[in-house]
Amino acid sequence: MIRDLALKALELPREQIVKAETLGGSSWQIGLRVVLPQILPRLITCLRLQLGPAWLFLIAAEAISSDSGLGYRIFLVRRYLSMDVIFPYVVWITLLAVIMNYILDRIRIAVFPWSELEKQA
Amino acid sequence: MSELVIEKVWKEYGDQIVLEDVSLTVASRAFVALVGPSGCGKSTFLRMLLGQERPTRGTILLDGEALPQEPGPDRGVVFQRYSVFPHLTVLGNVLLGRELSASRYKAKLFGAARRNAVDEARRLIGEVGLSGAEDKYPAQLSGGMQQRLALAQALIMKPKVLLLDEPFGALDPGIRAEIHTLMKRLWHETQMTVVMVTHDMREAFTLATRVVAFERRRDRPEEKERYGATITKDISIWPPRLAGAPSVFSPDRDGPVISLGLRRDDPASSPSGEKP
Repeated sequence: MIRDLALKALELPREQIVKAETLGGSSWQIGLRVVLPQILPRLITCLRLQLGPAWLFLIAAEAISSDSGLGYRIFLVRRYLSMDVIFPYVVWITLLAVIMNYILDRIRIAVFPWSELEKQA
Repeated sequence: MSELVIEKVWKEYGDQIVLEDVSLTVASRAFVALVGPSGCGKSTFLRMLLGQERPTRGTILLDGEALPQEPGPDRGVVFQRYSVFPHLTVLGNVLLGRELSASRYKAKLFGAARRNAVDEARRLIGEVGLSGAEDKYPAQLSGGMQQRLALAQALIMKPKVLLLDEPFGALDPGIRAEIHTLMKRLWHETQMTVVMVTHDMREAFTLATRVVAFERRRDRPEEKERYGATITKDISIWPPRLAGAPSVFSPDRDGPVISLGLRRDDPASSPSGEKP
């Protein structure tokens, strides 16, 4: 994620930085007012991409050492091969992941409306 | 006052000589257009005036003092693209200059200081014909409106020198004529020297007080590396145009054509621009 954001910051056109300098900006001010706001939407997008691995590790961790949670429950009934219990849980996990993904995207659009406009342009 | 003196400036990139022996004195409040073929170093020259690059040899003086090493608030700039910040509204873009110079660490203004700055920004926005679009983001504006916004954004700093790097190159002819009228009016009203790089001869001759042509004197492939471009023509427009003074001919014979009625990309007439 850090590398992704660093790349995004480097992608900003040089012209913008020069323009900010002609407006009297110091390095700190340019970072704060020009670079940072423009990479924050990318941070949220990055978070969405990382949801998959995050869920994977969550389920695995719950399966290994936990006494509650969806992953724990799946592994509990695994030994009985009771698919009728496992499948609804899998559907639940998928549903949660999809909702989280959707909510994160809505947050990005609500907080940074310009990032969506830019995509359409 | 804002007189630019460029003395025997050379610019080299490694072995490649881009500019050689450029000397030019730009009077205060002049409007100089730089023309020349692509790749002859006009933009490099402008970047040196801006302070983004340094001349290999020679000096550039602004009001008798050497140019600072970095771009600063005394020199405004408008590029062909990427001149406005996509994450700020029209008002935010114009306000940014004020906020950066007034507030050292937070780069934001509050209370009365902010109200004053907002008033000034709104006046400038009105001046470039963007009132009504204050809360829009640049992505919602047309190309012409974006360039007008970039002008307003640069003007709030009251720069001594305004540098334009093909600012109107990407606009269609109708909108370009309108923005020329605006540019001319702004030049008359403000206290700045303008240096503009352009490919459009018509633009150069209708707007400028002086047209300077850059060209390589030797342009054979084997000579290209060792001979840079220099000033080959330096034409002062006659009758002389003076900032703040009306043209000798009335209406200005060679001036930009003044369009009547609504501007074509005015907020009111653009499809996405309902007045709030």
